[in-house]
Amino acid sequence: MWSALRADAALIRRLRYPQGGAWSALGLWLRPGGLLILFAQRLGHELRTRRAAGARWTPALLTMRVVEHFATYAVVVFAKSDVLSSIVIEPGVYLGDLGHLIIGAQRIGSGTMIHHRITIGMNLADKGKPTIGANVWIGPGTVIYGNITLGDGATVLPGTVLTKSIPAGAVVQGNPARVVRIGFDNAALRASTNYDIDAASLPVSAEAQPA
Amino acid sequence: MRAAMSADVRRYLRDSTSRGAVVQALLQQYGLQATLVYRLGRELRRRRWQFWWWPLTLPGWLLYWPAALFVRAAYGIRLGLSADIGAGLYVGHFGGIELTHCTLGPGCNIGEQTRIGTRTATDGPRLGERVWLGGHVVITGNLSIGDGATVGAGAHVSSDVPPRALIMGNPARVMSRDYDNSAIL
Repeated sequence: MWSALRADAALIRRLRYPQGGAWSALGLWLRPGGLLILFAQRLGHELRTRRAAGARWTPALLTMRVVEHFATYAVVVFAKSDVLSSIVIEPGVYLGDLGHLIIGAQRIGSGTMIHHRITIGMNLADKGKPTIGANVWIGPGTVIYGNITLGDGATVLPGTVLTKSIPAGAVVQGNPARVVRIGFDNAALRASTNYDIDAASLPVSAEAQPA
Repeated sequence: MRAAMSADVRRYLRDSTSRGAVVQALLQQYGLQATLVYRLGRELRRRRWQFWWWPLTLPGWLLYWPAALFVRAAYGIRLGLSADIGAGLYVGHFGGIELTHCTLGPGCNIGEQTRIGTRTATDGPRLGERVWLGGHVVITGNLSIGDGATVGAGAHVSSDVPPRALIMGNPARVMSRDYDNSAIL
């Protein structure tokens, strides 16, 4: 849990303070933002894993439970977010500092960036939850639900409502979502916290056109 | 007020109706807290000009306003008193919910980031009974949604919706004319 949180903190610090410097660690403590959400989720997930492995309620585990309770409530009040502790989140994930995240995915890959005002959840009709690959970029105001898979390096542009699986490197936009690019490398998007992006502003190359 | 409140609480109880389940719902379901505060405010507003109730309603407002401010600031749920919400409202998640100048029938579901209503006092949207709304739904303007309709997550509704229809998208289009939402409600 702590190594995963350190990876998250390193990613957030690199994105938020590109120049680096010793004071950037202080900035992370003063304004944790998405790191607070990740802390509460990873603590809850750790507790859940240990209990599933048959661990008894020791004083240490009870302390963890109390800390998790208050951290989760702080996430609700300060970030308006609910990220379920059942999700498997790989180390090194960025969650938006502006909050309003309701996330109930199966799995989230490392290097994924999730901005604010996002719902990733269950399709109530068939109880399916999404699986999100590594290095996915998800813009603000997005809704993703159902038993679907987002391939590695996929890009979901702001305001998308996505209910179908997309392959690796695809770019989707719209409500309902349409694939606007394939084979797109989103490394430039993931290099900053800027989220004000639409399909027209993406670089066009000959091979990165919709099929 | 009490009948509507108990209908709201019952929406959050899945199978058990024990006292413990009710207490758990009251503590853990932020949408239920917001709904109960709204019911109190509507009752106070209904007795606004009945001066013989003033010894009770004036302290009641002192209870309502801090509570309404709390659910709005802490959970991001604003159920405005200008909204006319039927008994048995279920607010699934929290954050970014704003309901003003609209009419909801009994037994509705609403999700997070939902905006229903208008700024002005007239011509708000009218929703029938047992309407299911997903998250990120925007319904503004003078339109009506029929009984038992289902509005998919992220839909921006801009025209009237027939009863039992399933609509999705922006602008919202009818996906099914006869969709049974009793399984997800």
